[in-house]
Amino acid sequence: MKFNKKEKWVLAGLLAIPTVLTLLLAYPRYESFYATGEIVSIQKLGIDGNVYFTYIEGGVTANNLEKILVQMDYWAEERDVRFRPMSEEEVELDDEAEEIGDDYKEMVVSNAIEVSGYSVNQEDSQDEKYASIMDQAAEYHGDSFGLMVAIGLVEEETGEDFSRGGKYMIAGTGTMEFDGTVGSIDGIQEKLLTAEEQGVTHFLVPKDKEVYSFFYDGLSNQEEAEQYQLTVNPKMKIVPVETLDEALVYLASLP
Amino acid sequence: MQEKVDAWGKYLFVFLIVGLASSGVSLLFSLVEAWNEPFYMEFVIDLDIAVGIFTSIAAIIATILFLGWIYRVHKEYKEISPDYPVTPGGALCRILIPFYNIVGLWTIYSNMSRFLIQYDTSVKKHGKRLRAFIPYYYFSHMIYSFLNRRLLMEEEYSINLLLLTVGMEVIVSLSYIAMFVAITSGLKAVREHQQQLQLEQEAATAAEEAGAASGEESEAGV
Repeated sequence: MKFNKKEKWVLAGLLAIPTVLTLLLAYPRYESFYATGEIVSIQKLGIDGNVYFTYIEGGVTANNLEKILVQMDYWAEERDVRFRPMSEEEVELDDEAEEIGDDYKEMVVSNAIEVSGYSVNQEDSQDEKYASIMDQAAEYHGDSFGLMVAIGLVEEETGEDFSRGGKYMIAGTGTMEFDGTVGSIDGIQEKLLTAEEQGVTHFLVPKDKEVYSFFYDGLSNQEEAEQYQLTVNPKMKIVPVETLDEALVYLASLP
Repeated sequence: MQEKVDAWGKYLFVFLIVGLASSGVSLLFSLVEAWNEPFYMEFVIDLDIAVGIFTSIAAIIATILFLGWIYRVHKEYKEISPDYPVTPGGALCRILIPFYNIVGLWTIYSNMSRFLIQYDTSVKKHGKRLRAFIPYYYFSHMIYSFLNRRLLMEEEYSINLLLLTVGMEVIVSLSYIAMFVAITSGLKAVREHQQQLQLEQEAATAAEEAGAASGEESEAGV
C-alpha cells in the first residue's frame, strides 16, 4: 500500500486527532469537585437531637476526561459543580484518606461521644451508642458531621432542645477532636449553599482562621464563610465556633 | 473516482490496523487487571485510560472513514454496472438505520458477493471469499455490540465481562480487516476485468477499422 505526498499528510492529520485529544484528555491533572447536597436530621443517626448535619457531593477527578464527564452529569441535572486544582501533597493526602477509609469517621464519632459527656459513667451505653451511630452513618462518608453529632448527643443526654420546639433550624459542619476542638473540613462553600437552600436559620462553622494555615493551603473555613456572608448575604446566621463548649454556649443563648 | 475510493480505503486500512493494535493492548491491560489488580491500579490504570480514550476517538474516525469509503465503493459499482442492486445512499441507510441494519448489514455484502460471483472465475473467487467472510463479520460485530452495550449499562463492574468484551473487540477488529481486504480485492478484480473488456473492445474496434481499411485498399486495387 503506497501513499502519495498528499495522502501522507492527510493520514498524519487524521492520526494526530486521536493522539492530541488523548494527550489533552488523559493527561494526569487532579482536581477536587464539590456540589451541593442535603441537610440531614441528627435523628437519622439514631441520636435524639434536633440539629442537622450537612453532606455534600464531591470527589476527585484524575484527568480532563473525568472532569468533563462529571461536569456533564451535573449539567444534565442543571446543578452547579465547583472544581479546585489539587497540589501533589493534597493528592497524596487524599489517597491516604481513601486508604484509611472510615477511620476518621470512627475517630470523630468516638470523640463526639467522649466530649459530649454522653453516659459518662456507663461504658456499655457509650459502646452501644457508638455502634448504633456507626451503623446508621454507613452511607455517609467523611468526618465533617463530628460537631453536630456531639451537639445532638448533648441534646439527647440533657433533654435540651436547641431548636426551641422547631423555631430554629440549626445545622453545621466541622470535625470533633479529642479535646473538644472543632476541626476544619472540605467544601465549606457548598455546605453553606446547601444549608441556605434548605432553610437553615443558624449554621455553625469551624473557627479556624488562626490555625488553618498550619495544616492546609488557601482560605480557612472561617474566611470562606466570611466571604460567603459578604458576597451572598444569606438569610441564615453563620456562627464560627472553636470548640463544642463555645457552640453549646451560643445555642443555649438563643431566645 | 477510483483514486478517491483508494485514498479513503488506505486511510481506513491504517485506522483498522490501529484499532486492532489498540484493542490488543487493551486486552493485555485487562488481563493484567484480572491477574493482579493492585499492580494494575498502581502502574497500569493511567496508561489503560489513555489507550481507552485513543481507541474510542480512533474508532469514531474509523467509522466516518468506513461510511465515506463504503459510499464511494457503492458509487463505483453503480458506475460500473447500473444494475448493481444497492445505491450508495441505500448502503449508508442499511448501516445507519437502527433495526433495519440488523438485516441491512448482511444484505450489503451478500449483494456485493452475488454481484462479483456473476463474473468470470478471476472475479468470482473474490465474490466467494467475500461471501464466506460475511457470517464471521456479521456475528462478531453483533456479539461485540451486544457485549459493549451490556458493559456500559452494567451497574456492577465485572472483570469477566470486560475481558469477554475486549477479547471480542480483538476478534471483531480482525474480521473488519478481513472484510476490508475481501471488498478491496473484489473491487480491484472488477476494475481489472473492466479494463480487460475495454482493451478487448479497443482491439476489436482497431481490428475492424484495420479490416475496413484493407478492404478499401483491395477494392481500389481491382
